[in-house]
Amino acid sequence: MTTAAIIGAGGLGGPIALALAAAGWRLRVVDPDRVELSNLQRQIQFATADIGQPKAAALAALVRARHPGAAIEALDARFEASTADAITAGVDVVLDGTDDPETKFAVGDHAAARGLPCVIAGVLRYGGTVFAGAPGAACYRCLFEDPPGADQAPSCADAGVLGAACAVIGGLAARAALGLALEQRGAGTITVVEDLRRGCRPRTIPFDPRPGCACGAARIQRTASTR
Amino acid sequence: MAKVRIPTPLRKFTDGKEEVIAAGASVRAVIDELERMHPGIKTKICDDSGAVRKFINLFANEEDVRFLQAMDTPLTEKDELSIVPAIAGG
Repeated sequence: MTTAAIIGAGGLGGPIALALAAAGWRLRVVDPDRVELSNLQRQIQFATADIGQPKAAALAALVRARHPGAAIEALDARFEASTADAITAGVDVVLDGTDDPETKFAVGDHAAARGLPCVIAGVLRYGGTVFAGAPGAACYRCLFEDPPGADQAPSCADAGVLGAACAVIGGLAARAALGLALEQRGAGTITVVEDLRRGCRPRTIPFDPRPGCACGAARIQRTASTR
Repeated sequence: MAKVRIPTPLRKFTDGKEEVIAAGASVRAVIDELERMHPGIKTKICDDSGAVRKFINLFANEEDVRFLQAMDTPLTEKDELSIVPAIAGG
């Protein structure tokens, strides 16, 4: 059975967890936050009765209600250096659906350092992106070298997000995880959905490892290509 | 000249447009024209030295311009320049 850690149980973590649980995956859902009224428009896995509850536990309860045999664990924790190894212990794939750029980069760095396939998804207003990486392919820092500053990357709370966009981007993130884990394909790509108001036209763009990146994938590929 | 795909966080500079046609024979020239047409957008894409910010990537026809000729990558009216930032929301 494939095991995934899902970092963030909100707008993206909800559809990711529902899709992967239905696919029979074992899940570990991680989020330090509580459900708030303002979440409900886009985090459709929650109901008003969940307000005040830990997001990870509320999401796990919903998954269990739909799939009584589901193997899902909820962690009321934040992904950071001190918790990363425990959160990803025994997992085959790690997915990020948080709304925090620092956490996305921390997940990407940890996955690259531990040789874990990873998916990092982001959503804003009417679109979003899904990065997929795996050992030997480009990592998240091969694509984006540093996180944006607080004033350079609006959050969903700041800029708003179409609730349905979370379902689309979360579904694409789940699809990317399935591709990485089951077919070993899709690593080193970013899938972009520009604007759902003009239709759902995901574009998947492959990119190469960045020379000089700490992940070393460029060096490994260069060495392999010269043999 | 090229068709430029504008990401969500930068559409406040383009009156909400997701695509803009901008004159210029290179990535650098197209970005400069974009700034002339939509003042303020360049500083969101490039830092003070003119380099692309590290949380943004540019793709010319889905090729990472860092592996082409970076800001000097040539563009024609048949080309498409995509601006892809790290999206924070979730």
